[in-house]
Amino acid sequence: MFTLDEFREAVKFGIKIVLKKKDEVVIGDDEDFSDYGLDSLTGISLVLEVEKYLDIDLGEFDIDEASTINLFYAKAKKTIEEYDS
Amino acid sequence: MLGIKAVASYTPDHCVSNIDRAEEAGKDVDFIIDKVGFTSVLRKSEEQDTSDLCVGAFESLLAQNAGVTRDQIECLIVVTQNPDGFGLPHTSAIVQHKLGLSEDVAAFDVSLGCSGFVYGLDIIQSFMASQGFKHGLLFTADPYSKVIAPQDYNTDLLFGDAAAVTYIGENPVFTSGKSTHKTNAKLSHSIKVDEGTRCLSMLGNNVFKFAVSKVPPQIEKCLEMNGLDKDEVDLYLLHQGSKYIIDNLVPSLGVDPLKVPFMAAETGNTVSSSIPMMLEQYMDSDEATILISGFGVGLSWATSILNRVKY
Repeated sequence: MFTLDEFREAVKFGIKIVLKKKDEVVIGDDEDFSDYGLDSLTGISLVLEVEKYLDIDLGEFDIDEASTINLFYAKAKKTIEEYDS
Repeated sequence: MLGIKAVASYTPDHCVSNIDRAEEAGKDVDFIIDKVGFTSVLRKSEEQDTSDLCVGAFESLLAQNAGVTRDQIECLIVVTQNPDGFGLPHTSAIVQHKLGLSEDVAAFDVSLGCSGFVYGLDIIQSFMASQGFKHGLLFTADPYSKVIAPQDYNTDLLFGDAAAVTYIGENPVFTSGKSTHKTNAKLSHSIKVDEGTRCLSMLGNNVFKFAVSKVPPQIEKCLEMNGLDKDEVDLYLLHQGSKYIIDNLVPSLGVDPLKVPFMAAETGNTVSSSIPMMLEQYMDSDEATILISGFGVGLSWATSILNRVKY
């Protein structure tokens, strides 16, 4: 299972790829992804990038209900735990 | 040798501007242009049914002087999941009647969505070869406006109504290479008509993830089956699900983006007609090898190669 630190890195890496950012991504754990420029479609791409980065499969994952790093982490963790059990 | 002799399409006169209703839909205009990609979507009239769109496509085919006449036609297939009425009788029979074709014509429907053109091509060519037929029509017509819930902008901004007809016969412009077809019904609920509301529902997350994860490997497999390198393909005609899907498939394919056109900005996603509507534009061009790939409802995905015949 991934830690919050690992997940945060994955999300920042994902945002950098999805939004084609050159600079490091600086986003707070409770900052809404939409405030950072992500929309409903780039949000889906972010999930895919995080999956690739962490080598996980979140299945049918709706990021609309997990719009910050903390919320995304909690939902992803719960999804993986449910899958494992 | 059977293959594609001609392609024609029908597009309704009426279209709905997605730009004009962006605010109402809660979307930025830039989002619609750059991501969704459909600035407008085609809408059939209330009076038009699926068979009428097919008739319109056939009239376009006749106007092309493609060398087909009504009395030559031996079979017709309609690929649709939004048939006339409630699907009984089958739409292909209604089309046979409306076109005034002989009762000697074999006519049947194929229930497939966005992968339907690729499947349909294989089906009609195999059927014609087995029966010794020389003149067949493959129609694609899936007017989603029949099942889109009013103001469901998750779907209403995407889908457009249209039809295409592909004339199959001897001395063709294109012959088909080897195809590959796949299905994953575990995710079938991702695009479906809800039993209660009888309206279309779509889980965009699932569809996008499916497209970007399943289509590129299938394309690679198809290239391998046909002994082709990706650079040997002149054109990749991918189902026009949205601009965002096409834009995200291009890097995975590792090909020149100019070879992967997005051509549905003013029509919307016309389901199984999206590929033949593009192909129609390239019938007289120089592209020798064209890859076609359809993906969507099912979930189902299919890819094939078209080789231009040198005479």
